[in-house]
Amino acid sequence: MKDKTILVKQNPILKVVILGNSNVGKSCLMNRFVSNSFSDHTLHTLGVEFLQKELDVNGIVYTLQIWDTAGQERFRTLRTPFYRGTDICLLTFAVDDIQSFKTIDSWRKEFLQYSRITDVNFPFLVVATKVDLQDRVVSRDEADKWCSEYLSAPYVETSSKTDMNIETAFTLAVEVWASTERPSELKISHTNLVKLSRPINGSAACPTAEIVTSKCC
Amino acid sequence: MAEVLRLPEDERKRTVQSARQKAIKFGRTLVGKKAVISKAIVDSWHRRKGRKVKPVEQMDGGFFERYGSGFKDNFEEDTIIAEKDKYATLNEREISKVDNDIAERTQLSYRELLSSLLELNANYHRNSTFGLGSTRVQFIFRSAISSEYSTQFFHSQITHSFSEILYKMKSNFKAKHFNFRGVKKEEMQRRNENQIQYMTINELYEEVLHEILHCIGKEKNCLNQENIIEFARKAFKIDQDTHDAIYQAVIEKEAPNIMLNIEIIEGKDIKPKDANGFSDPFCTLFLSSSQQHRYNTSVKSQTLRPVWEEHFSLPVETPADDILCVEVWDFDPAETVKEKVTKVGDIKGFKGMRRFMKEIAVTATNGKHDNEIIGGALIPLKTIPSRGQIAWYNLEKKGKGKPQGNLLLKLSFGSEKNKQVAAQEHRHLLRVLLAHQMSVQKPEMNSWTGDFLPESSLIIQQHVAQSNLGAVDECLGQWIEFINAHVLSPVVNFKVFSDLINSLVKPITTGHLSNEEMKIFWQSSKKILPFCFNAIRTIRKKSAEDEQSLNQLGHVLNILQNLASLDLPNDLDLFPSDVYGWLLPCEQTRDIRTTLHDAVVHGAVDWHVHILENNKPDDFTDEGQMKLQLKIIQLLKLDLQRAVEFHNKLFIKKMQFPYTSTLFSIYECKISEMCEPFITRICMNMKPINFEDNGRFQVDNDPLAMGTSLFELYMGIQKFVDLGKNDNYVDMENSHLVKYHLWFQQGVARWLDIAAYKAMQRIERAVDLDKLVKVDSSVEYSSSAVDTLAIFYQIKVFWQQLAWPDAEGSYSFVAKIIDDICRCSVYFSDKTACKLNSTVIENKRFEVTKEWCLAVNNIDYVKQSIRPFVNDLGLTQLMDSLANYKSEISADHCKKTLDLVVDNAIDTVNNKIIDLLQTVVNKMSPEISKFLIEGAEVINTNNSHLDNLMSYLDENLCTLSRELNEENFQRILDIIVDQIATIMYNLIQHNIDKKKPPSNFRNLRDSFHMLFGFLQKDNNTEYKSETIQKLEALMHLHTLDTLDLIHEYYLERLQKQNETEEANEGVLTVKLIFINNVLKVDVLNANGIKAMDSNGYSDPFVKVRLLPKDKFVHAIKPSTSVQKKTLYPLFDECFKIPLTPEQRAEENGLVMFIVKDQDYMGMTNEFVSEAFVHFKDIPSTQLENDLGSVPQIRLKLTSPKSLDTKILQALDTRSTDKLAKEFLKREKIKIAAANSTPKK
Repeated sequence: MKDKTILVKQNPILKVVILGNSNVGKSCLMNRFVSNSFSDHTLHTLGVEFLQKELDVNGIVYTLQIWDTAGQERFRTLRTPFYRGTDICLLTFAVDDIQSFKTIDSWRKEFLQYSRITDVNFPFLVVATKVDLQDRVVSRDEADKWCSEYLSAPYVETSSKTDMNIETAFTLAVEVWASTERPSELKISHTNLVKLSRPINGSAACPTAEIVTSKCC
Repeated sequence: MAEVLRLPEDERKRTVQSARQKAIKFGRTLVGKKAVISKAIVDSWHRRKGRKVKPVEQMDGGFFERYGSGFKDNFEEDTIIAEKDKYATLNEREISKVDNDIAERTQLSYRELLSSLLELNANYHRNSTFGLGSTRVQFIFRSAISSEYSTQFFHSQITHSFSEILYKMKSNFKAKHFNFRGVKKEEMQRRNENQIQYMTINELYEEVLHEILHCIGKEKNCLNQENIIEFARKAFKIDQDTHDAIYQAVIEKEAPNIMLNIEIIEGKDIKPKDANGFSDPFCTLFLSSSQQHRYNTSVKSQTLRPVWEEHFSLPVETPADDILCVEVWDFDPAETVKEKVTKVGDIKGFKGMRRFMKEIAVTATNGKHDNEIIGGALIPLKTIPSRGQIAWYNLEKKGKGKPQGNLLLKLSFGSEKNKQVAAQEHRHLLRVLLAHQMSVQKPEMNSWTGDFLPESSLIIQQHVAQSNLGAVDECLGQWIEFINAHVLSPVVNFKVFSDLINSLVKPITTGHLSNEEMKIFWQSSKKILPFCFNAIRTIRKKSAEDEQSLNQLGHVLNILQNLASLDLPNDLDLFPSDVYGWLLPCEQTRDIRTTLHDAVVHGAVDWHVHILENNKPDDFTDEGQMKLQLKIIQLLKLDLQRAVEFHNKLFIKKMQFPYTSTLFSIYECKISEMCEPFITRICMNMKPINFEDNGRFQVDNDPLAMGTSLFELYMGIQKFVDLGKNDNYVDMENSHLVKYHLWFQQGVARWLDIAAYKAMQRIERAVDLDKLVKVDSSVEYSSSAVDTLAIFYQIKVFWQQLAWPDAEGSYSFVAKIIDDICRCSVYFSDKTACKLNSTVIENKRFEVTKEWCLAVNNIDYVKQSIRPFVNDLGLTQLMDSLANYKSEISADHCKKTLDLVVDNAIDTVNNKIIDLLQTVVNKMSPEISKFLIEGAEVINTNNSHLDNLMSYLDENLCTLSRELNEENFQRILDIIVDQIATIMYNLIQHNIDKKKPPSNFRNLRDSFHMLFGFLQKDNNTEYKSETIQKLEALMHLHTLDTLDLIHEYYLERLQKQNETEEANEGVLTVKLIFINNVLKVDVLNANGIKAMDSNGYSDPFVKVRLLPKDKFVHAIKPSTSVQKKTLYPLFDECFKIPLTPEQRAEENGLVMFIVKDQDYMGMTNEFVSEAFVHFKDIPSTQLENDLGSVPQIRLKLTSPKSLDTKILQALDTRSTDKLAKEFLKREKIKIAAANSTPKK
């Protein structure tokens, strides 16, 4: 009982939001990543869904809070309130659906509008899904080029069905986040305000860890 | 004539003018009153609440109170105001309505009057019929007059005009003035036709006088003839001279031919007259004035309860003093004595025998037979009411005191008058008397219940009786004339019509009415229908709570129901468009039902327009518009509510008409037209929160205020929709409002966002204001926790009131709310921690205070409230509705998400608690470490420093255990232990650097163990955190003797050897066995050892040593011979090392093999590598066996690589220890050798 509570891991928690058109496979992406499962018949997401997963990136264990959203237009008002406080945003499109690729930018704009993020360096990651399909209409080069030139965001190709690059995508996302420069002062107070459950990044939070690491390393 | 009518026209205008002025004045007072009322309500609300506005609420003007529980009160209050308002507007409306009506009708009437009068004039000259003219005039009046406001004035006008017209017409018809008494029947028939049309008022008057003079029935007794005549004269407005002339003529006229209609129905209790105990009765009847005219009924044989049901009609000459005689006789058949005697068997009883004997005697003596009288009744005609009656009469017989039986008779008067003429006369008579009635009684609107003045009713009854009119004729006459009167001035209570139509429907459906009568009936019905529909259209004029007006509505609907049940005439346009201007275009044939629908619709639309007119926007801001819309919706809702409470039942019962749902569908259309675009726009434009650069946020005030009105509007619509949902007839599926909540969706999302930020602001303020004092002695938390929960509560109430109808939306919003609540909880913890940190004074010994504990409790309290809060949001119902709406799986998904969010929140807040506890312990740690450092310096463990530390801890722990709950106390204990471990660890590290002696470390170790035992108490000794484990390992090293430490080092080397995977430095193969106390060692060979010499080979030999060294001082230390120039030396040498039993039993004994390279000189043999075997891994035997059966062991050769191990470091600290120094020196050489490259 108390062992559990006292040992609550105080990992950095990152809020990840997955956006993209209806039917591009956002829920599949999340389910493959979190529970390593895949189903051909996934229901439409209602509003939002939420799962957690720990991920070790370069020796630091992060807890990812993944918010999967409903892509259908009618859910727009229902999903947008959840954008706030996001650390990483995954923009998804399906390689067999040109429309989903074209709307990526509008998703990005919607996200920025509702999350009220003004930071130009906010980490986005473009994720192509369903690359296992034969009839792809968006080529890798085209997507890669557009992402780097227009969004200057990294691009990764995945398949939830074959479990290709799924963990890689999330790892990449965390790396992007970690490498993004943030005005530290602002970030902390801001974080305290809006984060669902972010431990304080200060000495008060984990003095033990700090002392130990300083000696051991 | 036109001049006569123009005057009242002006007068009418004046009336209208003054009515309008009154209305305005009245309205002003009401508005004034309203303001006073609403202020009083607001005041009392504040007083009732007895609230001092709390500082936390003050900061944002009671933001949450507007939405949460306070919001509800506000809403109720608004409703009250709206209720008051309703009455104000209702009155204004009524007056304006009347205004319109009068203005409209005045215009119409004036035009029509002129044209009708012209027509009348023409008729006058053309000898046109009076009847027609009269109808025209009535029509004009109907159009002109229909307002109760001018009743009085119009009354005099009507009667005046009416009599005037009649009077003038009279001369026109004089030539045709017939007396219809004493004329031949054929002639009479012919004249009747004319009569119906040409009858004048004087003729009618004459007829009435005649009837009064020859009054029949028992009314005569109470009749004061002169009074009645005078009454009639006044009613007919006949001047005295004319009256005298007519009266004279009447007196001269012969009495009317009155018929007495008799039905002999049945008899009972007839005395038996025959020997068989029965009688054979029959009746004889005659009038005393003409006894010779006798009428007999048939004979009913052998019965005492005869039933005849036979009709007779007797002409009556003098109804005033004639007497009707009815006698009952026993029939005596003509029988001889002999025949009679044969009936002896039928004789019953003694009396029967006597009667039998008497009969025989009579027959025998006079030879003839005779009927015997049983009894008779004398009925003076003046005792019979003129309307007739059915009554039992006693049969009397001379000399007998007791009645001889009873007879049931139906008696009534009749005449030979032509029925049509009589009916026509009757209607005229009713009309005249009604007019008189109105002018005398001046009844209120719709208040006259059909009761005439006694004199009038006497005259009417006489007419009915003397004209031989049936009940149906009478009803029809009343139906027609009452309607006419009502048209002139709507004073007749609808109950009268309702009763009349009830009794008319049956004769009509069974075809009792002639075509002519049907035509008149429908013409009249056509006139009454607009009144019925108007009553429905203007249903809102009357207070719904008033029973009277509800009754009226019931009657109106009853009339409509009955009329609707009849076949409508084809040749009559029942709904002329000039009267029914408000009818909607209709594709089907127009009937009463569709018209009713239109009337209801029109009433509703009209009401809506009226509401709009009375609520003109004066404030064109969005806020003002929302308030206005809310008010309009509330007014419409009130109307609907009244429909549900009062009217709907009647409409359903009588007409199967879904009144509420009709209103609902109209209002909902209007509401959605009005609100949808507006609300959608408002919600889209709601301003979001602005961030400032410092990460703080700022919210403009107007979107919040807007939010308040917006949700009042939402609640208004919601309540309206709820009313509709409760009605079975309302088709919610196709309603415009079914998705009303979607208009607000964007707004709700925004509002929740804003609320979350507001909540945080409030939390911040609450924490600031918190004095960290328990709110009362029974609880363990302080004001900020209470305030925070209050905020949660308000959000919850808001959500509950929102009662979001759509499952999907609810789910997302709930997820959002939970998420927000979690943030708020976290924010609360952070703020609390912040506040506490700022209270600590630096450089002062830290003591745990109640405040710290309270803060922890506060956070805990907030944490504990999260789950109940979530449950209160209605998750269970939400999941059910999601499961219905989507699927079980979806619902399950969503539930998991929400659960996860909640768990996450609770975990996070738990972390916050731990953080705070950690902070507490951090504050304590300087004190703890001070005591520990001081304690460690002193050799003696029984030092007072430790005692001081213990008492410091004890003191603080007492506070903590008293103030914290068990869970958190355990947590902080663990944290303290951990902290102490950390401090000691650091202290030891420090002391290592300072190269303190092991005694110092031993002191520390002892202190720690004491503290650990003290803190852990009895439970949970198994648990050791990582920190403690590290600490213990470190203390173990530094408290050991140097020899032990060295051996520890070798054990570690053995461990390293076992962990080595690849034998990079070669393998040594040996055989080992204990034979009793002798260790037998076979060094067989080595593979791939390191090349030490420049030629690429080594000259290896192996030394065998036993460890720990000090235990095996006297044991032999064998070495193999040197194998030259090889990396694969074959030794194959066997050594026997005898040991003492103690040595043999050495627990951690090791065999160490050292491979060395022989140098040229044989002096400084170089270290190559080494290998270890633990005693416990060596097989043992008691027998001197061949070593061949002992398994070969392949030992991986290794060498120490680094000085940087904890043990070597520990040894290094012992600078004064010779042993340690020497050992380190040797190991350093080994390491140097191991790291060196082969010599070139």
